[in-house]
Amino acid sequence: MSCEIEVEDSNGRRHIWIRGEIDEDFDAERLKEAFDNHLTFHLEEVTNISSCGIREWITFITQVPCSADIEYEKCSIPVTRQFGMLSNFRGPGVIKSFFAPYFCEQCDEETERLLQVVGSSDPQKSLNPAERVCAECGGLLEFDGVERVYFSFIREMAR
Amino acid sequence: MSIDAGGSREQGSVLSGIRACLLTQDRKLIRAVTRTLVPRRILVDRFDEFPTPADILLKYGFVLVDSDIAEPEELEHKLQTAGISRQRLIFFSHTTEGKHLASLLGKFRLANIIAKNGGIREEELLVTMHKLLTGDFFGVGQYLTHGTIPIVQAVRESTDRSPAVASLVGFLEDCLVSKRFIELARNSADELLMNALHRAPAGLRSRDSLDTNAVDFAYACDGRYVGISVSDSYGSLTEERLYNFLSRCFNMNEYEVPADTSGAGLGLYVVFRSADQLVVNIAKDQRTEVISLMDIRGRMRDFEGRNKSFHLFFGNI
Repeated sequence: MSCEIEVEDSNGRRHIWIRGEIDEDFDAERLKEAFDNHLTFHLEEVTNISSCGIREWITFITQVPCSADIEYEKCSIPVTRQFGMLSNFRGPGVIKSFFAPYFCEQCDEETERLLQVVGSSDPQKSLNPAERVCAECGGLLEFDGVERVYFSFIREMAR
Repeated sequence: MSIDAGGSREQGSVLSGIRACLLTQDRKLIRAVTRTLVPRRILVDRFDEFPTPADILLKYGFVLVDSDIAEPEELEHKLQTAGISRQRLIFFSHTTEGKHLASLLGKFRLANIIAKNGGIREEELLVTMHKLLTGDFFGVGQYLTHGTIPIVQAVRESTDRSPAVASLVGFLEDCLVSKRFIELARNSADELLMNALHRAPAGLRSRDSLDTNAVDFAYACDGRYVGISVSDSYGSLTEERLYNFLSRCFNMNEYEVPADTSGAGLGLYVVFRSADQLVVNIAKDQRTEVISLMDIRGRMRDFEGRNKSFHLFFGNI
Protein backbone atom coordinates (compact mmCIF):
# COMPACT_ATOMS: atom_id res chain seq x y z
CA MET A 1 0.00 0.00 0.00
CA SER A 2 1.48 3.34 -0.98
CA CYS A 3 1.10 6.24 1.34
CA GLU A 4 -1.59 8.87 1.75
CA ILE A 5 -0.85 12.50 2.41
CA GLU A 6 -3.30 14.72 4.27
CA VAL A 7 -2.81 18.45 4.74
CA GLU A 8 -4.50 20.75 7.25
CA ASP A 9 -3.77 24.25 8.57
CA SER A 10 -4.29 25.08 12.23
CA ASN A 11 -2.78 27.39 14.86
CA GLY A 12 -0.66 29.19 12.31
CA ARG A 13 1.05 26.03 11.12
CA ARG A 14 0.57 23.62 8.29
CA HIS A 15 0.16 20.02 9.39
CA ILE A 16 0.88 17.07 7.10
CA TRP A 17 -0.04 13.50 7.96
CA ILE A 18 1.70 10.76 6.03
CA ARG A 19 0.13 7.31 6.25
CA GLY A 20 1.28 3.95 4.90
CA GLU A 21 4.48 3.00 3.15
CA ILE A 22 6.94 5.50 1.72
CA ASP A 23 8.19 3.67 -1.35
CA GLU A 24 8.85 4.20 -5.04
CA ASP A 25 5.31 5.54 -5.50
CA PHE A 26 5.74 8.22 -2.85
CA ASP A 27 4.35 11.51 -4.12
CA ALA A 28 7.14 13.95 -3.28
CA GLU A 29 5.59 16.48 -5.68
CA ARG A 30 2.49 16.63 -3.51
CA LEU A 31 4.70 17.42 -0.51
CA LYS A 32 6.48 20.16 -2.42
CA GLU A 33 3.14 21.72 -3.33
CA ALA A 34 1.97 21.53 0.29
CA PHE A 35 5.19 22.90 1.72
CA ASP A 36 5.00 25.76 4.18
CA ASN A 37 7.72 27.45 6.21
CA HIS A 38 5.93 26.50 9.44
CA LEU A 39 5.25 22.85 9.03
CA THR A 40 4.56 19.86 11.28
CA PHE A 41 4.81 16.32 9.96
CA HIS A 42 2.73 13.71 11.78
CA LEU A 43 4.37 10.37 11.09
CA GLU A 44 2.84 7.84 13.48
CA GLU A 45 1.17 5.95 10.65
CA VAL A 46 4.19 5.53 8.40
CA THR A 47 4.51 1.76 8.31
CA ASN A 48 7.69 1.36 6.30
CA ILE A 49 10.23 3.21 4.18
CA SER A 50 11.93 1.45 1.29
CA SER A 51 15.23 2.55 -0.24
CA CYS A 52 13.32 4.21 -3.08
CA GLY A 53 11.21 5.97 -0.48
CA ILE A 54 14.35 7.12 1.33
CA ARG A 55 15.67 8.55 -1.91
CA GLU A 56 12.40 10.35 -2.65
CA TRP A 57 12.22 11.74 0.87
CA ILE A 58 15.83 12.93 0.90
CA THR A 59 15.41 14.56 -2.49
CA PHE A 60 12.50 16.46 -0.99
CA ILE A 61 13.98 17.31 2.41
CA THR A 62 17.35 18.47 1.09
CA GLN A 63 15.57 21.09 -1.00
CA VAL A 64 13.86 22.56 2.06
CA PRO A 65 15.42 25.88 3.11
CA CYS A 66 17.49 25.66 6.31
CA SER A 67 15.48 28.54 7.76
CA ALA A 68 12.21 26.57 7.57
CA ASP A 69 10.52 25.76 10.88
CA ILE A 70 9.85 22.03 10.53
CA GLU A 71 8.77 19.68 13.29
CA TYR A 72 8.28 15.93 13.32
CA GLU A 73 5.65 14.57 15.68
CA LYS A 74 4.99 10.98 16.75
CA CYS A 75 7.49 9.45 14.36
CA SER A 76 6.83 5.74 13.93
CA ILE A 77 9.63 3.24 14.58
CA PRO A 78 10.52 2.83 10.86
CA VAL A 79 10.83 6.62 10.53
CA THR A 80 12.84 6.98 13.74
CA ARG A 81 15.28 4.29 12.60
CA GLN A 82 15.99 6.30 9.44
CA PHE A 83 16.73 9.39 11.54
CA GLY A 84 19.35 7.38 13.39
CA MET A 85 20.76 5.62 10.35
CA LEU A 86 20.95 8.31 7.68
CA SER A 87 22.44 11.60 8.64
CA ASN A 88 20.58 13.70 6.08
CA PHE A 89 17.13 12.16 6.52
CA ARG A 90 15.94 14.77 9.01
CA GLY A 91 16.95 17.82 6.98
CA PRO A 92 16.52 21.03 8.96
CA GLY A 93 13.60 19.60 10.97
CA VAL A 94 13.33 19.02 14.71
CA ILE A 95 11.98 15.79 16.14
CA LYS A 96 9.52 16.49 18.95
CA SER A 97 8.25 13.01 19.72
CA PHE A 98 8.76 9.47 18.46
CA PHE A 99 7.83 5.87 19.15
CA ALA A 100 10.37 3.48 20.62
CA PRO A 101 10.37 -0.34 20.78
CA TYR A 102 9.83 -2.05 24.12
CA PHE A 103 9.61 -5.65 25.19
CA CYS A 104 7.97 -7.47 28.08
CA GLU A 105 10.16 -10.43 29.03
CA GLN A 106 7.39 -11.97 31.12
CA CYS A 107 4.73 -11.92 28.41
CA ASP A 108 7.24 -12.35 25.54
CA GLU A 109 5.45 -9.47 23.84
CA GLU A 110 6.67 -6.54 21.79
CA THR A 111 5.12 -3.15 22.34
CA GLU A 112 5.98 0.49 21.73
CA ARG A 113 5.85 3.74 23.66
CA LEU A 114 5.69 7.38 22.61
CA LEU A 115 8.69 9.35 23.89
CA GLN A 116 9.13 13.12 23.97
CA VAL A 117 12.39 14.81 23.07
CA VAL A 118 13.38 17.11 25.91
CA GLY A 119 16.74 18.68 25.19
CA SER A 120 19.52 16.12 25.10
CA SER A 121 18.41 14.18 28.16
CA ASP A 122 17.37 10.53 28.04
CA PRO A 123 13.99 10.56 26.23
CA GLN A 124 12.87 7.55 28.27
CA LYS A 125 12.55 9.90 31.22
CA SER A 126 9.55 11.42 29.46
CA LEU A 127 7.57 8.26 30.22
CA ASN A 128 5.50 8.31 33.35
CA PRO A 129 5.87 5.27 35.66
CA ALA A 130 2.64 3.70 34.44
CA GLU A 131 3.93 3.74 30.87
CA ARG A 132 7.08 1.86 31.86
CA VAL A 133 5.16 -1.25 32.84
CA CYS A 134 3.43 -3.92 30.79
CA ALA A 135 -0.34 -3.43 30.61
CA GLU A 136 -0.84 -7.21 30.81
CA CYS A 137 1.41 -8.38 33.64
CA GLY A 138 2.59 -5.18 35.31
CA GLY A 139 6.23 -6.14 34.75
CA LEU A 140 8.83 -3.56 33.79
CA LEU A 141 9.19 -3.02 30.05
CA GLU A 142 12.68 -3.15 28.59
CA PHE A 143 13.87 -1.06 25.71
CA ASP A 144 14.16 -3.44 22.74
CA GLY A 145 17.07 -2.02 20.85
CA VAL A 146 20.41 -0.33 21.32
CA GLU A 147 19.74 3.04 22.96
CA ARG A 148 23.00 4.54 21.70
CA VAL A 149 21.95 3.81 18.13
CA TYR A 150 18.20 4.39 18.31
CA PHE A 151 18.52 7.74 20.13
CA SER A 152 21.55 8.91 18.15
CA PHE A 153 19.51 11.57 16.32
CA ILE A 154 19.04 13.37 19.64
CA ARG A 155 22.79 13.93 19.92
CA GLU A 156 22.81 15.05 16.29
CA MET A 157 20.04 17.58 16.91
CA ALA A 158 21.86 18.95 19.95
CA ARG A 159 24.94 19.80 17.84
CA MET B 1 5.51 -22.11 -5.76
CA SER B 2 7.94 -24.99 -5.61
CA ILE B 3 9.95 -26.67 -2.94
CA ASP B 4 13.73 -26.70 -3.06
CA ALA B 5 14.96 -29.96 -1.64
CA GLY B 6 17.97 -28.13 -0.17
CA GLY B 7 18.59 -28.25 3.53
CA SER B 8 21.93 -28.27 5.21
CA ARG B 9 24.48 -30.92 4.47
CA GLU B 10 27.21 -32.60 6.38
CA GLN B 11 30.33 -30.49 6.15
CA GLY B 12 32.49 -32.72 8.31
CA SER B 13 33.71 -35.23 5.75
CA VAL B 14 34.88 -32.64 3.24
CA LEU B 15 36.70 -30.66 5.90
CA SER B 16 38.34 -33.61 7.60
CA GLY B 17 42.14 -33.49 7.48
CA ILE B 18 42.32 -29.85 6.40
CA ARG B 19 44.92 -27.68 8.15
CA ALA B 20 43.94 -24.30 9.45
CA CYS B 21 45.84 -21.70 11.39
CA LEU B 22 44.31 -19.22 13.73
CA LEU B 23 46.00 -15.89 14.40
CA THR B 24 44.62 -14.43 17.58
CA GLN B 25 45.24 -13.68 21.22
CA ASP B 26 41.55 -13.75 22.03
CA ARG B 27 40.96 -16.73 24.33
CA LYS B 28 37.25 -16.77 23.64
CA LEU B 29 37.85 -16.94 19.93
CA ILE B 30 40.49 -19.65 20.34
CA ARG B 31 38.04 -21.75 22.32
CA ALA B 32 35.16 -21.20 19.92
CA VAL B 33 37.18 -21.96 16.79
CA THR B 34 38.90 -24.97 18.33
CA ARG B 35 35.65 -26.43 19.59
CA THR B 36 34.15 -25.97 16.17
CA LEU B 37 36.96 -27.31 14.02
CA VAL B 38 38.79 -29.97 15.99
CA PRO B 39 35.77 -32.28 16.36
CA ARG B 40 35.50 -32.14 12.55
CA ARG B 41 39.10 -33.38 12.37
CA ILE B 42 40.43 -30.09 11.14
CA LEU B 43 43.96 -29.50 12.39
CA VAL B 44 44.25 -26.11 14.02
CA ASP B 45 47.60 -24.38 14.68
CA ARG B 46 47.50 -21.23 16.76
CA PHE B 47 49.71 -18.16 16.57
CA ASP B 48 49.43 -15.22 18.89
CA GLU B 49 51.11 -12.99 16.32
CA PHE B 50 51.91 -13.09 12.61
CA PRO B 51 54.58 -15.79 12.13
CA THR B 52 57.96 -15.06 10.61
CA PRO B 53 58.60 -15.74 7.84
CA ALA B 54 55.06 -14.97 6.75
CA ASP B 55 55.09 -17.56 4.00
CA ILE B 56 54.61 -20.24 6.67
CA LEU B 57 50.95 -19.32 6.30
CA LEU B 58 50.88 -20.48 2.72
CA LYS B 59 50.96 -24.13 3.76
CA TYR B 60 47.58 -23.88 5.44
CA GLY B 61 44.29 -24.62 3.80
CA PHE B 62 42.69 -21.79 5.75
CA VAL B 63 44.14 -18.80 7.53
CA LEU B 64 41.81 -17.42 10.19
CA VAL B 65 42.82 -13.91 11.23
CA ASP B 66 41.46 -11.97 14.16
CA SER B 67 41.35 -8.26 13.33
CA ASP B 68 42.74 -7.56 16.83
CA ILE B 69 45.96 -9.49 16.21
CA ALA B 70 47.78 -6.27 15.32
CA GLU B 71 47.28 -2.53 15.08
CA PRO B 72 45.50 -1.53 11.87
CA GLU B 73 48.57 -0.34 9.94
CA GLU B 74 50.63 -3.31 11.04
CA LEU B 75 47.83 -5.70 10.17
CA GLU B 76 47.63 -4.28 6.67
CA HIS B 77 51.37 -4.61 6.25
CA LYS B 78 51.39 -8.21 7.51
CA LEU B 79 48.53 -9.25 5.28
CA GLN B 80 50.29 -7.66 2.36
CA THR B 81 53.52 -9.49 3.13
CA ALA B 82 51.85 -12.85 3.71
CA GLY B 83 50.10 -12.75 0.33
CA ILE B 84 47.32 -15.10 1.43
CA SER B 85 44.72 -15.75 -1.22
CA ARG B 86 41.43 -14.22 -0.20
CA GLN B 87 39.75 -17.53 -0.90
CA ARG B 88 41.69 -19.01 2.02
CA LEU B 89 41.47 -16.05 4.35
CA ILE B 90 38.69 -15.78 6.90
CA PHE B 91 38.66 -12.63 8.94
CA PHE B 92 37.10 -12.16 12.38
CA SER B 93 36.04 -8.71 13.33
CA HIS B 94 34.46 -7.25 16.43
CA THR B 95 34.15 -3.65 15.40
CA THR B 96 30.87 -2.15 14.39
CA GLU B 97 32.35 1.20 13.53
CA GLY B 98 33.99 -0.25 10.49
CA LYS B 99 36.39 2.45 9.27
CA HIS B 100 39.33 0.12 9.55
CA LEU B 101 37.36 -2.71 8.04
CA ALA B 102 36.28 -0.51 5.15
CA SER B 103 39.92 0.28 4.48
CA LEU B 104 40.95 -3.39 4.64
CA LEU B 105 38.09 -4.32 2.36
CA GLY B 106 39.19 -1.90 -0.28
CA LYS B 107 42.85 -2.90 -0.11
CA PHE B 108 42.57 -6.66 0.24
CA ARG B 109 39.14 -7.37 -1.17
CA LEU B 110 38.35 -9.45 1.88
CA ALA B 111 35.74 -12.00 0.95
CA ASN B 112 34.81 -13.51 4.30
CA ILE B 113 34.37 -11.41 7.39
CA ILE B 114 32.80 -13.09 10.40
CA ALA B 115 31.43 -10.99 13.22
CA LYS B 116 32.91 -12.07 16.50
CA ASN B 117 31.25 -9.80 19.01
CA GLY B 118 28.86 -11.84 21.09
CA GLY B 119 30.76 -14.99 20.06
CA ILE B 120 31.09 -16.57 16.64
CA ARG B 121 28.46 -18.91 15.30
CA GLU B 122 30.06 -22.26 14.60
CA GLU B 123 27.72 -23.04 11.72
CA GLU B 124 28.77 -19.87 9.94
CA LEU B 125 32.44 -20.79 10.06
CA LEU B 126 31.77 -24.35 8.93
CA VAL B 127 29.54 -23.43 6.03
CA THR B 128 32.03 -20.82 4.88
CA MET B 129 34.92 -23.28 4.89
CA HIS B 130 32.80 -25.92 3.21
CA LYS B 131 31.74 -23.57 0.45
CA LEU B 132 35.28 -22.42 -0.16
CA LEU B 133 36.52 -25.99 -0.40
CA THR B 134 33.80 -27.42 -2.58
CA GLY B 135 32.96 -24.43 -4.75
CA ASP B 136 29.32 -25.27 -4.17
CA PHE B 137 28.17 -21.74 -3.43
CA PHE B 138 24.55 -21.35 -4.34
CA GLY B 139 21.45 -21.86 -2.24
CA VAL B 140 20.22 -20.72 1.16
CA GLY B 141 19.68 -24.33 2.25
CA GLN B 142 23.29 -24.90 3.26
CA TYR B 143 22.94 -22.32 6.02
CA LEU B 144 19.98 -24.03 7.63
CA THR B 145 19.61 -27.11 9.76
CA HIS B 146 19.01 -30.46 8.14
CA GLY B 147 15.43 -30.97 7.03
CA THR B 148 14.63 -27.31 6.52
CA ILE B 149 12.94 -26.92 3.18
CA PRO B 150 13.23 -23.53 1.49
CA ILE B 151 10.19 -22.32 -0.42
CA VAL B 152 11.10 -21.15 -3.90
CA GLN B 153 9.11 -18.83 -6.12
CA ALA B 154 9.86 -17.43 -9.56
CA VAL B 155 9.49 -13.66 -9.77
CA ARG B 156 9.27 -12.49 -13.33
CA GLU B 157 8.27 -8.84 -13.12
CA SER B 158 7.71 -5.98 -10.69
CA THR B 159 4.06 -6.81 -10.18
CA ASP B 160 5.07 -10.23 -8.79
CA ARG B 161 7.11 -8.56 -6.08
CA SER B 162 4.35 -7.69 -3.61
CA PRO B 163 2.64 -11.12 -3.69
CA ALA B 164 6.03 -12.81 -3.25
CA VAL B 165 6.87 -10.64 -0.25
CA ALA B 166 3.38 -11.18 1.17
CA SER B 167 3.89 -14.94 0.96
CA LEU B 168 7.13 -14.59 2.93
CA VAL B 169 5.37 -12.53 5.59
CA GLY B 170 2.54 -15.07 5.83
CA PHE B 171 5.05 -17.89 6.21
CA LEU B 172 6.97 -16.12 8.97
CA GLU B 173 3.74 -15.29 10.77
CA ASP B 174 2.85 -18.97 10.64
CA CYS B 175 6.26 -19.71 12.18
CA LEU B 176 5.47 -17.19 14.97
CA VAL B 177 8.57 -15.15 14.20
CA SER B 178 8.37 -11.85 16.09
CA LYS B 179 6.85 -8.89 14.31
CA ARG B 180 10.05 -6.87 14.36
CA PHE B 181 12.01 -9.61 12.63
CA ILE B 182 9.21 -10.10 10.12
CA GLU B 183 9.38 -6.41 9.30
CA LEU B 184 13.12 -6.65 8.66
CA ALA B 185 12.68 -9.76 6.54
CA ARG B 186 9.93 -8.11 4.55
CA ASN B 187 12.08 -5.06 3.80
CA SER B 188 15.07 -7.18 2.85
CA ALA B 189 13.04 -9.33 0.49
CA ASP B 190 11.47 -6.31 -1.12
CA GLU B 191 14.83 -4.59 -1.65
CA LEU B 192 16.52 -7.72 -2.94
CA LEU B 193 13.75 -8.43 -5.40
CA MET B 194 13.74 -4.89 -6.64
CA ASN B 195 17.51 -4.93 -7.09
CA ALA B 196 17.41 -8.26 -8.90
CA LEU B 197 14.64 -7.16 -11.24
CA HIS B 198 16.47 -3.94 -11.97
CA ARG B 199 19.70 -5.79 -12.65
CA ALA B 200 18.00 -7.36 -15.60
CA PRO B 201 19.52 -6.09 -18.84
CA ALA B 202 17.31 -3.26 -20.12
CA GLY B 203 16.17 -5.26 -23.13
CA LEU B 204 14.81 -8.03 -20.93
CA ARG B 205 12.70 -5.97 -18.57
CA SER B 206 9.47 -6.03 -20.50
CA ARG B 207 6.67 -8.39 -19.51
CA ASP B 208 6.99 -10.62 -22.55
CA SER B 209 10.71 -10.96 -22.87
CA LEU B 210 11.86 -11.51 -19.30
CA ASP B 211 13.14 -15.03 -18.86
CA THR B 212 10.60 -16.99 -16.86
CA ASN B 213 13.31 -18.20 -14.51
CA ALA B 214 15.14 -14.91 -14.40
CA VAL B 215 14.69 -14.25 -10.68
CA ASP B 216 14.26 -16.91 -8.03
CA PHE B 217 13.05 -15.95 -4.59
CA ALA B 218 13.63 -18.49 -1.81
CA TYR B 219 13.02 -18.29 1.91
CA ALA B 220 13.09 -20.55 4.90
CA CYS B 221 13.18 -20.56 8.66
CA ASP B 222 14.76 -23.25 10.81
CA GLY B 223 14.01 -21.74 14.21
CA ARG B 224 17.51 -20.25 14.39
CA TYR B 225 17.64 -18.28 11.19
CA VAL B 226 15.34 -16.68 8.74
CA GLY B 227 17.07 -17.04 5.39
CA ILE B 228 16.09 -15.13 2.28
CA SER B 229 17.70 -15.68 -1.08
CA VAL B 230 17.18 -13.79 -4.30
CA SER B 231 19.07 -14.96 -7.34
CA ASP B 232 19.05 -13.87 -10.93
CA SER B 233 20.45 -15.45 -14.03
CA TYR B 234 22.28 -12.35 -15.25
CA GLY B 235 25.37 -12.46 -13.03
CA SER B 236 25.85 -8.78 -13.69
CA LEU B 237 26.63 -7.54 -10.18
CA THR B 238 30.30 -6.65 -10.42
CA GLU B 239 32.94 -7.02 -7.76
CA GLU B 240 33.82 -3.37 -8.16
CA ARG B 241 30.28 -2.22 -7.44
CA LEU B 242 29.93 -4.60 -4.55
CA TYR B 243 33.10 -3.43 -2.80
CA ASN B 244 32.16 0.14 -3.37
CA PHE B 245 28.88 -0.45 -1.60
CA LEU B 246 30.46 -2.56 1.15
CA SER B 247 32.99 0.08 2.04
CA ARG B 248 30.07 2.42 2.64
CA CYS B 249 28.20 -0.22 4.64
CA PHE B 250 31.08 -0.92 6.97
CA ASN B 251 31.56 2.80 7.35
CA MET B 252 27.93 2.98 8.35
CA ASN B 253 28.01 5.73 10.95
CA GLU B 254 29.00 8.18 8.30
CA TYR B 255 26.50 7.04 5.75
CA GLU B 256 24.79 9.85 3.97
CA VAL B 257 22.56 9.45 0.98
CA PRO B 258 23.37 11.89 -1.80
CA ALA B 259 20.15 13.61 -2.82
CA ASP B 260 20.65 12.68 -6.44
CA THR B 261 21.59 9.06 -5.84
CA SER B 262 20.05 6.55 -8.18
CA GLY B 263 22.03 3.34 -7.75
CA ALA B 264 20.99 0.13 -6.04
CA GLY B 265 23.58 0.59 -3.29
CA LEU B 266 21.10 2.05 -0.86
CA GLY B 267 18.82 -0.98 -1.19
CA LEU B 268 21.73 -3.31 -0.47
CA TYR B 269 22.65 -1.14 2.48
CA VAL B 270 19.13 -1.58 3.89
CA VAL B 271 19.51 -5.35 3.43
CA PHE B 272 22.93 -5.33 5.06
CA ARG B 273 21.56 -3.49 8.09
CA SER B 274 18.72 -6.00 8.34
CA ALA B 275 20.92 -9.10 8.34
CA ASP B 276 23.31 -10.91 10.65
CA GLN B 277 25.03 -12.40 7.64
CA LEU B 278 24.98 -11.10 4.12
CA VAL B 279 26.16 -13.60 1.54
CA VAL B 280 26.77 -12.79 -2.10
CA ASN B 281 27.44 -15.58 -4.60
CA ILE B 282 28.53 -14.56 -8.05
CA ALA B 283 29.06 -16.69 -11.12
CA LYS B 284 30.03 -14.01 -13.58
CA ASP B 285 27.60 -13.55 -16.46
CA GLN B 286 25.66 -16.57 -15.23
CA ARG B 287 24.11 -16.04 -11.84
CA THR B 288 24.08 -13.70 -8.85
CA GLU B 289 22.58 -14.69 -5.55
CA VAL B 290 22.23 -12.51 -2.48
CA ILE B 291 21.34 -14.24 0.78
CA SER B 292 20.26 -12.49 3.95
CA LEU B 293 20.37 -14.47 7.18
CA MET B 294 18.83 -13.17 10.38
CA ASP B 295 19.48 -14.89 13.67
CA ILE B 296 16.07 -14.83 15.34
CA ARG B 297 17.00 -16.69 18.53
CA GLY B 298 17.26 -13.57 20.62
CA ARG B 299 15.41 -10.29 20.77
CA MET B 300 15.72 -7.30 18.50
CA ARG B 301 18.00 -5.74 21.09
CA ASP B 302 20.46 -8.64 20.68
CA PHE B 303 20.21 -8.47 16.92
CA GLU B 304 20.94 -4.74 16.81
CA GLY B 305 23.86 -5.12 19.20
CA ARG B 306 25.62 -7.67 17.01
CA ASN B 307 28.12 -6.96 14.32
CA LYS B 308 27.40 -8.02 10.74
CA SER B 309 29.13 -10.78 8.82
CA PHE B 310 29.79 -10.66 5.15
CA HIS B 311 30.66 -13.42 2.69
CA LEU B 312 31.44 -13.18 -0.96
CA PHE B 313 31.95 -16.23 -3.14
CA PHE B 314 33.09 -16.18 -6.74
CA GLY B 315 32.98 -19.12 -9.05
CA ASN B 316 31.18 -20.93 -11.80
CA ILE B 317 27.96 -22.84 -11.68
